[in-house]
Amino acid sequence: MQIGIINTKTSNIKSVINALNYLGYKKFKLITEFTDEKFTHLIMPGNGNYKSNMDIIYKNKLDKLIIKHYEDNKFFFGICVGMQILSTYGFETKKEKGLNIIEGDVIKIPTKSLRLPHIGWNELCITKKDIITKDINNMSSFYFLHSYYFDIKNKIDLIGTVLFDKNLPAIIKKNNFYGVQFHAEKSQYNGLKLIDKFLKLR
Amino acid sequence: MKIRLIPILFYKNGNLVRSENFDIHQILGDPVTQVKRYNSWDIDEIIYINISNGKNFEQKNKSFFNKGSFQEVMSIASKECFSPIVFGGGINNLEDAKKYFQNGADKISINSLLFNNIDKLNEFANVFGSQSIIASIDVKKINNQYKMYSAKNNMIYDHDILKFVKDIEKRGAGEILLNSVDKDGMGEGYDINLIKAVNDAISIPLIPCGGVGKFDHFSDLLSQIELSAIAAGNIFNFTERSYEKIKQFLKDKKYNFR
Repeated sequence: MQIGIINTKTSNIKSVINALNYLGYKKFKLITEFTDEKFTHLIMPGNGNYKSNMDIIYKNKLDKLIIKHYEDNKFFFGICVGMQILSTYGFETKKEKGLNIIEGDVIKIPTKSLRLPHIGWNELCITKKDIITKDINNMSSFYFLHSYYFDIKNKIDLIGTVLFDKNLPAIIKKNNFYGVQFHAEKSQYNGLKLIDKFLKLR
Repeated sequence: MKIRLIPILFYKNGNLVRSENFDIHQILGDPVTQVKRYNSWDIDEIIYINISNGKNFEQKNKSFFNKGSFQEVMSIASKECFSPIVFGGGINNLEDAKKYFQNGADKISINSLLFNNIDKLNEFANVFGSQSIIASIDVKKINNQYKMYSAKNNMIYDHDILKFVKDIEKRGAGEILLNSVDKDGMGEGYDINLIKAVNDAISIPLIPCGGVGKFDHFSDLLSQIELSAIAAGNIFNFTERSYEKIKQFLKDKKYNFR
């Protein structure tokens, strides 16, 4: 097993490292640029603007790394914007091309009655059975922190939703690529359980 | 969507302190232990601000607890906290902000920078995303008029508060943390008029704090203003199992807490 954490230097990477350490995963590589090295599990922490993340990804050829990882059918866990960059396009700041691994666009949450950003603990509705949510009770709370959401094109990629005026994707999956809109590393025990389940995937 | 109950911690020259009117700072103890304790309470979120002043700002701590500078405290404290932590105090530029995130911040809070170089707020929002940036405003009554105050700059500002918070929102702040200097540490309840005025002026979430002395003060506020977060300092420090008890108290009143 070879774990890699992508470090864009704009994310809350320390929180992800802390979670892995706490769970007993002491060996992992921090990745800042393209490398030929192979990983079984890649984690992309999320903080920051879609465009600034994509700029860093393209500049350091991390797009090549992530796409290769996908083609090799390896495991990926994207958190918040770390998930959103898998989309076709993002519209934060201005239109920006994503990695187009999971079809759909990242757009502003359409709400008239609620305040943006969507910040705080909200309930995860599990819409499809998956090994990663096996030990999580339906409607458990997770910590969300975003103004943009991944408007996925194919419902088949959806595992869980969150209600914020309307149902937004909260967990998505395509082949071995997972994405969570909430901050699993900062969602107490339920979040840690989810990360542990991901790292146990073989 | 749950309402967040957020304790605010203050770090000063190596110690965890409690604050009264932004003036008296009583040493409470170890700057790390309290974070661990809060984590074990399954807390919603923590705000932790460095209020050390002047040249002591990044000085190696000479306190009894010997946990080091605020950067070191951040790094140690965040290791055992799996709820979001906001760190603030002393962020002046992009490099500072990056350092905070690399040392365990999930969000950052800025205050004096809003008065000294407000364009930094736009820059931070573009790099880290609005959702990670809290603009912190402290308000003090001077001749019965609300004025903004910066403890770091030791200045009172004449800007129109409501215009100022609207501008902050436009520039990309994700949330506003609002504190009242006069209510700080007094235990008389929140400044509800101030909170209402600011909350009505903005369309991002507001985190009010300052003045809570008993559980009823939380429900007094929530019964008058619809909020997605409430914060306090001292009540969590001095009441045994306070966090859990306050949550239960508010849930019994049918407020939507986790």
